[in-house]
Amino acid sequence: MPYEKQNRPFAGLDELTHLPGENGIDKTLLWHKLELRLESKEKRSKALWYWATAAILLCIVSFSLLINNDQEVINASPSGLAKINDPLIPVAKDNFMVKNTLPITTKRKIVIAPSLEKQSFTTKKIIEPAVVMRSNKIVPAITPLITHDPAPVVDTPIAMNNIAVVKKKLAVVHNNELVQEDKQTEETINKVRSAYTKPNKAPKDQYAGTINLRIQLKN
Amino acid sequence: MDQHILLKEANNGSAAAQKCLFDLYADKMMMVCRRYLRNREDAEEIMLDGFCKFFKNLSSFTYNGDAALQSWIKKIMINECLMFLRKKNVFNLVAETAADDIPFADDTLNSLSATEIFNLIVALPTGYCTVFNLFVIEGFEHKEIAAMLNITEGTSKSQLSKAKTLLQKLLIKNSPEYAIRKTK
Repeated sequence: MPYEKQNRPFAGLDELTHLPGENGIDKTLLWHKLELRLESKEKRSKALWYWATAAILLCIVSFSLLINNDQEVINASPSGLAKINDPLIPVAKDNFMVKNTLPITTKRKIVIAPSLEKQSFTTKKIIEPAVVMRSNKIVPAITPLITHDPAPVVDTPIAMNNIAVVKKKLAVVHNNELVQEDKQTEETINKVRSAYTKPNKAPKDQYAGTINLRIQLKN
Repeated sequence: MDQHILLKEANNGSAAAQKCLFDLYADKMMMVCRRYLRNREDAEEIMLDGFCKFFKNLSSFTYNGDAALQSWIKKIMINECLMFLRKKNVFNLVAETAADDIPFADDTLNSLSATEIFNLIVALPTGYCTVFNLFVIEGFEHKEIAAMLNITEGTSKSQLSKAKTLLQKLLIKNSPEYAIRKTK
């Protein structure tokens, strides 16, 4: 402010405090207003600082998370790619059959249900890869003939599960055929009944050969 | 109490020191604001805003005497007033050709009291009043005024010359002595 350059006749204006005939300003009231403003400005500035720090922290955390994720992807990618690219089952160029000895399942230890325990085993047994059916019978290892499938091992358990779950489709039969079948069954039942009523000679004939063999061995 | 100590205390956040400074300068600054804004309520609001800024920026001020402190507070007040006027879009000043410099009778003004001069200035239209205040009373140059009000230098000059002619008319109207001297 060039206060030194101020014109002389107007210098008195700076010292003017109030106009004659007018009341001066209410300083106490104005001071209260000013105090309120100063407080609110302080509060506002504080809130602004809090928001700014919160935003910065959020940015830092999200940025660091992003960077970590990228590094994990970079680290995992070579081995992961190798797993995908290297087929576990040898690739066959010709169409020959590959025999699978055991069904590929996830290695989970299955504890046999108590009802099954009573029937077959005296002690608890832990069976590794096996499939428990609904009928509580242990199904022997399925050895299906599988044509070569270069699919990765990871997908196979899902495929196996699908096979186990699939229900048998019932053949569609005409009503007339059912009547014929009923007749046939009746005939077979009659035959069986007649066979049981007749004297049974067949068992003797069956074991005849074995007796002869035993005699020969003794000699 | 010494103003230097008051300033230090106020800078440290003492409300009492701040109140003392406010009491010292409130009246004068109110008159400064009223010279630019005329409306008393607006002037009060702007003065409070100015004091808010003053207390906030106390740390950046270096004490070089009471006059320097007063002029600093005054500068803050004037800036606040100009900002308010700019917001209200009062300066719809059309660029005009520079008017001839009208000689202003200092003798007559010397004979007038501060209150009379104040009333004369306040009677001018806002545009004239602002340029007159900035150039004649505060001592700014046309370049500075043009930058402050976002107008051209020519406009500032023309506004000032028009303000002077109007002021002379008002002087003739109000003080018959000046009219007699002019006619002679």
